[in-house]
Amino acid sequence: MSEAILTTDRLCLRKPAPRDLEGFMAFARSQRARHTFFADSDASAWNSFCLVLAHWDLRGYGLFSVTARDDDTCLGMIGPFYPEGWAEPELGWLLWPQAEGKGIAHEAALAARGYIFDVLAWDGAVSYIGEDNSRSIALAERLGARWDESAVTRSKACRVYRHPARTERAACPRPSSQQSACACAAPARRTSRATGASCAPSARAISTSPRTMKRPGGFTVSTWPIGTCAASASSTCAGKRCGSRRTSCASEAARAGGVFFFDVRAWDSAVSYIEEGNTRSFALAEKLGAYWDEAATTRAADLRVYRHPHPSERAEEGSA
Amino acid sequence: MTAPVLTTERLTLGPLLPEHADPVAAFYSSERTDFVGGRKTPEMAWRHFAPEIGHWTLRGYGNFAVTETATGRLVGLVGPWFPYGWPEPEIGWMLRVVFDGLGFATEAAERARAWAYDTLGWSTAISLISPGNGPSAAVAQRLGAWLEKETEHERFGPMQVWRHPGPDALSAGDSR
Repeated sequence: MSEAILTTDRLCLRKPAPRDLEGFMAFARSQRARHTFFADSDASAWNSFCLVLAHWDLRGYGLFSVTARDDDTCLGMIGPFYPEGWAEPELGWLLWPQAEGKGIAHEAALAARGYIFDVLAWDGAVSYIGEDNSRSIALAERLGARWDESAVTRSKACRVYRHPARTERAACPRPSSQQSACACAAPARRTSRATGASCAPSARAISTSPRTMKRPGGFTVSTWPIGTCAASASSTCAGKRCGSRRTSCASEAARAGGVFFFDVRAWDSAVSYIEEGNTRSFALAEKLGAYWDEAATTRAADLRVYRHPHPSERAEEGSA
Repeated sequence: MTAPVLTTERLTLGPLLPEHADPVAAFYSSERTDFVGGRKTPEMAWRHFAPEIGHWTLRGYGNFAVTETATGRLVGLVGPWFPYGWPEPEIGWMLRVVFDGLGFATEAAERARAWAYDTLGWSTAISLISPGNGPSAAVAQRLGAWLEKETEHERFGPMQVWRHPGPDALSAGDSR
C-alpha cells in the first residue's frame, strides 16, 4: 500500500502498474468500454493500456488505479486524463464490472478531483460521457457536475459534464442539491477568481500547470508548511463570501494540504505556527487533530506550534 | 523501466521524452508512414507515441528515441519491440524521411540489436517489414538479416519476417 498517492475511507489510488493489465484488457474488450477505450482486438487493448501507463510519463499525472485499502487488486481507473486532442482536461473514470454498485467510483472520483484542484491546480475539469451512459451521468451529477451543452465535445453522442471548481466546493461544502440555498453559490468563474485569491500562494507553491509538470515527485514544493495553507485558507474564508462556514472551508483546504504533504510528498511531520490569541486558528488546528507542542522550536515568542498527526496515527484513531 | 542511453559513432539512443511527441507527430503526418499504418492526425499520432513509452513499462524494453548526437534532432524510433499479438520480439526502426540515405537506420538498429542480445539476453530477433518497403528490406540486409517467410498480421496484413543473425553468429563474425 506504500504506493498509494491518495487514500479514502475504503480505497487507495495509485499509479497504474503492469499487474493491472488483465483487468484493463477485459474492460477494454467489453461493451462497458464502448464510450472510451473500446478495443476490437486484444492487441488494441494492450496498446491502450500502454497509453494509460505512458500518460503519467508524458503528463506527470494520469488515471489512478483504484484498489481497496487492504487488497491491491485494481477495481477501475479514475483520475486526471488529458491526452492530445482533448479540448479540456478531464476527470475520467473507468470501473470494472465487479466493483459497480458500491459507491467506489464516487468515493474515488471525489479524491481524484481533490487532487486535480489541490495538487495539479487545474482551473477546471470536465468529464466526457456517452449520452446513453446513464450510470456515468448519474455519477457526474452526484459529484455536482453539470451538463455543459456549449462545451466542445468528443463526438455527437458524447456529453461534457463540467465539475464545480475547487473554490466553489470549498466555499459550499454541502451536497449539490443544497447549493441553491447557499449564500456563496456564485457563478463559477467569478467565485474562483474572488475566493481563490488568497489561497493562491500555497496553490502555486505545491503545483505547476498540467502541461509543464513532469511528474508527481518533481513538484517545486516550497518549504512552506501546512500552516501556510491553513492560514491562507482561513483568511480566504474570513471574507464576506463564506460567512459562518469559514471553518469548514479552512479545514477542507487544510485537509487537502495534509493529504498532499503526507501522502504525496511523504513528509514525516508537519506543524502549523499560530499566533497567540488566534482562537479560531487554534480551533481549526485542533479540529484537524493537531496539538499544541509546547516543547517544539517556534519561530517567535508569540507563535504556538501545533503538530499535526501523521496519517498512520489518524488511521489508528479512526479505527477506534 | 527507463531506457538507458546508448551511443554509436553519430547517434544517441535514449528514453522517449515528452518533447519527442511533436517530431513523432511530424513523422506520422509524413508519407513515411505508408508502411506503418498510414498518416495520422496529431491526436492519433499521440496515441501511437504514448504506448511506445508504456511498452517500456510493460516489457522492460522498447523503442529508443534516436537522436543525431551532433544536433540533438530526433532521427526516429528504433529498438526492441514486442507488442501484444506480435509473432516474436523484433528489432524495429522508423526514421524521419529527412534522415534518409545516411545509414542511420542501420547504425541505430545494429546498436539496439546488440543491446537486446547482450543486456536482454535475446537469442534471436526478427524484423517485420511490409512487402514493397524496399528501403527497409535493404536495412535488414545490411544488418545481415535474411527473408525467412511471410506472415499475416491481423491489423497490418501481409508482412515479411526477416531473421537476424543471433548473438553467436554475430560474435563469430566479429572475430573473423
